[in-house]
Amino acid sequence: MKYSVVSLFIMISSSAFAAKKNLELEALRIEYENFYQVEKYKPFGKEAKIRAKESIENLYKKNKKGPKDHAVFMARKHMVMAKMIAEKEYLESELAKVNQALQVIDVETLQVEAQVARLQADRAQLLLSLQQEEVARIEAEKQAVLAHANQQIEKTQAELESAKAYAEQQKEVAKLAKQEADLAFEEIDALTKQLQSLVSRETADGLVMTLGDFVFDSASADIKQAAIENFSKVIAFIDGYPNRQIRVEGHTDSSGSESFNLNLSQQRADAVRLLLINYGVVGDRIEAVGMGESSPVADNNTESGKSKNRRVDIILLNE
Amino acid sequence: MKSSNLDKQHSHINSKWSLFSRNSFKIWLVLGLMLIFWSLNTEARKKYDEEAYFKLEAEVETLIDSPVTNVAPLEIKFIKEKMVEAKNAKAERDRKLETQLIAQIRAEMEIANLRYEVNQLNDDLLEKRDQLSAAQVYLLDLKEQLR
Repeated sequence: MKYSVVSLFIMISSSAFAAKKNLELEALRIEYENFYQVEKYKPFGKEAKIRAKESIENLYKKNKKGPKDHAVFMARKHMVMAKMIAEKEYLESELAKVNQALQVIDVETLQVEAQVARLQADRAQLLLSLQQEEVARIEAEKQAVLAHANQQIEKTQAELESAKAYAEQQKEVAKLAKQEADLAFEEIDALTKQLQSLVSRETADGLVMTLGDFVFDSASADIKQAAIENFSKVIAFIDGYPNRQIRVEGHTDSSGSESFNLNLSQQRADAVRLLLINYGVVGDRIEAVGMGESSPVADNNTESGKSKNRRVDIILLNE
Repeated sequence: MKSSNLDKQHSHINSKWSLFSRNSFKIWLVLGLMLIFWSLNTEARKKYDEEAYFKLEAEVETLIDSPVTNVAPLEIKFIKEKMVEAKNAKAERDRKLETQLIAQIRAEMEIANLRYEVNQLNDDLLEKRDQLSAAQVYLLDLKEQLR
């Protein structure tokens, strides 16, 4: 009885143990089948797969007690190895693909780099050309500015020279003008003095005031401005006798033709008459007569005599 | 009388130990079994390598000192444990167990090496893929410059 219980326990235990092992084998087989079906690993680890498969199949062929632990262990390890070898070969294959793709890209990159480099070189060349043109343009501008500046300097120098010359000229002119002015002043002073010193004399026709030829420009009937401005003495003389008629007689020396002298004397007499009218003397009172060289008061053979003969007499006729 | 007895005994012995007697069959059977056992044992002895453990020990040490240790710590741990067991088996002259343990350890070593190689390949592949991506980006950039 005792032996039968023990043997039964052993039988149950062994059968339980065998069932556990069978489950383990089945799990191993299914794991292998699943692994075998993985698409990406199909081309890889073929020898390792065969070895793993054989190991697992051998487990089923073992004795009736079931496979030994060592065989199961080795079968499992063979399957792990098969997986890892397949993974390794798969990775190597992927690596090879990536390397190939890299090589393709490297080649293309080199080609594109060459194109880019050529393009950059072209751009650089173009830029250089533009810069050279710009430099040339700036240089030309500088030269133009420089030339213009030189021209300006030359012009300025010329103007300066010219201005200096002009200044010198002006200085000379001023000097001459001053001299002329001095002379004119002297002349005016003389004229003024002469006009102020005019005196009248009694003649048969009336009171006579004689204006020397200093009153007129040479060989002209134009009365000098200074004489016009200093004519007050003459006007005062005329105003002293408001009721008398006035005769203005023009005389010349004997130089030149008679007709010329007659004409000149008439023009001078007319000019004095007009001046008197301008000073307010009534025109009806005044008669202008050109006497020419017919009534000399001095010798026409001398300069002083000629000077005395060139005159205008203002005669306040007796009533 | 005496000689006849001797003859009888002699013939009995001869008949008992003759080549084709019942007893001689048993002897042949025992000898045959011994021969089979001897031949099997010789075969087993032929497979057993006395130096295998020591060679393996050296290889394991080399493996432990290599970068594989960092990648396959579980396998290394297992190898170390199995090495202790193999050493004990060798000490106890349990050749069968020793041989099995050595085979298991070699399998683990191969797996550890494969794991290391796979890891390396994975790293290489990642790096190469990064390079590929960078190269593609660079190439696109270059092509943009050409437009």
